Amino acid sequence: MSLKVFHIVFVIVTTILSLFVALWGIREFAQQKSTGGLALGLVFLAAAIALMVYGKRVYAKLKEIP
Amino acid sequence: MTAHAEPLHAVGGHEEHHEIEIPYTVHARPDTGVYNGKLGIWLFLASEVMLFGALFSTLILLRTSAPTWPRGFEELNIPLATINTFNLIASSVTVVMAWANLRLGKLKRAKLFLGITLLCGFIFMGIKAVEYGTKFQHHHYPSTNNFFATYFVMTGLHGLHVLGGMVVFTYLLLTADKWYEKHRDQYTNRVEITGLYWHFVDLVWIFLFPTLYLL
Repeated sequence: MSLKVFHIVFVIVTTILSLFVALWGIREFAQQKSTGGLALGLVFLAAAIALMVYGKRVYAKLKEIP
Repeated sequence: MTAHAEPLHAVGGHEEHHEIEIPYTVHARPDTGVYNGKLGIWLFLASEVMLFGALFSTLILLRTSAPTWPRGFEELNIPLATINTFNLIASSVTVVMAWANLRLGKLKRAKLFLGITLLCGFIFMGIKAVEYGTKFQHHHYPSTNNFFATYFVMTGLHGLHVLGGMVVFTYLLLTADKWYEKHRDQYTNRVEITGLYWHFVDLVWIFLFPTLYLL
C-alpha cells in the first residue's frame, strides 16, 4: 500500500473516530449534563466535517501525483 | 543504492574494489510488487500491530475484570490530549505534502513540510511532558493502579515511537540536499516509507485517545 492510499485510509479512520467522539460528547451532555463533554463533541463534529471535505479534496489532488 | 565493499583481495600491491549494486531500492520487485524499503516497513508495521494489539487486549482484559475502573474523562487532561490529537492529524497531512512535493520536484517546499512535521512531533512530546509532569505532581505513577499502569505504558510506548519518527525526520532533513541531488527517487522513497510509519503512529494515537481518555 502506498502513502497515497494509506493517507486516504487514515483520513477515513480519523473521520470515523471524530464522529464517535462527537456522539460520545453529545451523549455525555444528555446523560450527565457535562458541558465539557458537549464542547468536546462539538469540536470533534466540526473536525469530522472538515476531514470529510479535506478527504474529498486530497483524494482528487493525490490522483494527480505520479 | 550503491554500496562500496571492502577490498576483497590485493593483487600485486593493487587493491581491487568491488561495487555491489543492491537491487530494488527504487523500483518494485517483480515478485512482491513493491520496492525493498516498502516491503520492509510493512513487515515492521505488521509486528507493531501485534505489539500494540497485545497492549490493547491487556487493557480490555484488565478493565473488564476490574470491579471498578476510573473514567479517563475525569482523571486525564482532555484539552491537552485533544490538542495533541489534532496536532498529529496535522502532521500526517504535512508528511504527505512533503512526499507529494518531492514527487513534483519541489525540494524546498518538501523540506518546509518535513520541518513542520518535525515541529508537530516536538509539540506532541512537549504536551506529553506537561501531562506526565502534572500526573507526577499529583502522585499518579504507573504503580498507583492498573488504570495509570496501562496509561503510562501505552502512551509512553507511543511517545517513544513518535520520538523515533522525529529522529528519522531530522536525518531526512539534514541529508535532504545531498541525497536528493544524488539519488532523487531513493530519497523520495525514504520519505514515503517514513510517512507510512508516521501514519501508523498517528493511527495508534487515534485509537488510544478515545480508549484511554474518554471511555
